[in-house]
Amino acid sequence: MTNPILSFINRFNIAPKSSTEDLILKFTLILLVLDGSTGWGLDVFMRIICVLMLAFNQYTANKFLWLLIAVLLLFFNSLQFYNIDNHKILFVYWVLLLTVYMWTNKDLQYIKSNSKLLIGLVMLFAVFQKIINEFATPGFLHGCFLFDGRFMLITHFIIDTPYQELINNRNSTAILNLVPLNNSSVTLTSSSYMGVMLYAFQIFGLIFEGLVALLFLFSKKESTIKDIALIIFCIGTYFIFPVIGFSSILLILGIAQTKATFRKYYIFTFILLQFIIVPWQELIFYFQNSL
Amino acid sequence: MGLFKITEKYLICIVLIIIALIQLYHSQFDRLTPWKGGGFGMFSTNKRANITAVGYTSSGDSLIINVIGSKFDVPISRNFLTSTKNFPKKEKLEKLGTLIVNSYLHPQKLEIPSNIDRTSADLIKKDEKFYSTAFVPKYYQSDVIARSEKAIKIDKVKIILYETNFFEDGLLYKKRYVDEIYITKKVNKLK
Repeated sequence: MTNPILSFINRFNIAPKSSTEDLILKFTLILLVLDGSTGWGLDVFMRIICVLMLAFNQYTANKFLWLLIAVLLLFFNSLQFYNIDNHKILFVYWVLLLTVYMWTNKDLQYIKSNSKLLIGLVMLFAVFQKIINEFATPGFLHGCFLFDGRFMLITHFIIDTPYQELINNRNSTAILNLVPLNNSSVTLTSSSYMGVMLYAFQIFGLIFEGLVALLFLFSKKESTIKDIALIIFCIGTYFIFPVIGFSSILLILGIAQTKATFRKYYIFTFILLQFIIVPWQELIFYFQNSL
Repeated sequence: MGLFKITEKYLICIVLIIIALIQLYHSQFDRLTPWKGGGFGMFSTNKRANITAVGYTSSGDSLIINVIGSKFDVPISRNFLTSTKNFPKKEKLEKLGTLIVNSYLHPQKLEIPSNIDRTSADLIKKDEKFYSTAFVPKYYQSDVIARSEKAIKIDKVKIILYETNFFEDGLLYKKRYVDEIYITKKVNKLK
């Protein structure tokens, strides 16, 4: 006797229309397993559903399971809407797009044109927010590199400030956060060289991000310049700002919209960027101080 | 292509634009951080909401409260505190105040950093007792354990919302007043 739940799910099995579609669906499932979670509630479902869809080919393009993933992502991410990172919201748009694609029997062009536009819009809003939030004036990256734990070691390597002074920077900002005094401030330790260098990097990053946005919004679908620009952006940005989920979703969107001959470069970059998780700052610091 | 066709084809992108525009409105004209809420403003600013709290005991003493969240022994969940900092709406600040005012507060030594500005340092010097300790909200299994750890309770709390930012000129990390609310402990009249 067939399991009634399984036979219900089986009714929604469809075969991917092409190897491209199969590839896009599988990469998305991999992304959801690796980084789709925004808490244990969603994580449990994602691990079970997505892993089974990857393990058994007949379920990879199952319409019901994709709808279920979309509903679960929508539900759990809505609960934590102001806590989750923007790339988790981008996951939801992407999964919704794939779900609509499967339920409405659209052609692959639907995915290609929408994923190209999604990249363009994300980049456009990121650039626009930076401009209106005074990113073009000096200080943003310098501030990050002085009191954000993710970048403090890079500061230590570049300007050779004793690590203890950087820890003091961070501790003094933490104490200032407790003190109920308006206009109180602490002076942080750094060098003007660091400020100038990071400001140059900040402006270059802003211009390049704007360029990627314009290329994805206005260039032709077949253009490889936009693809090269996105790959350079991902490699140049995410090895310093290690947000693996954002780089992965951008590259999957890249795979979805590019022509078949360029896809391998996106896949190679996807593999390369998995090395983001290597704690290279800590490793360098450890070897510097243990020798 | 007609409007209906465009909407049908690019519906998800249109949803992205609408949510990003709502986020832009809230981050520019309300208190939402540009980093969150679907507007793709991550890594765009160092401005952050800073929630500071001052408690008032029944004997009239005031004390600094270290507003932290934790999964374990602090009665403020980390998720709630993060969400409050990301979008410090009045209702959330009131809920935060209620959690603090109903909690035991455990004293911890506070060391004012030497790199604080001169005006603040002078003000701190005038009221050294107040600035020497920060109280952390904490769960206790019993009142006896709480008292043995010198934990206290308060009658009223002032939640003060500041905005912190980094300024390249002078390498200053500075806080600016935004708003404040008072939460008073509700007395159980049945007791």
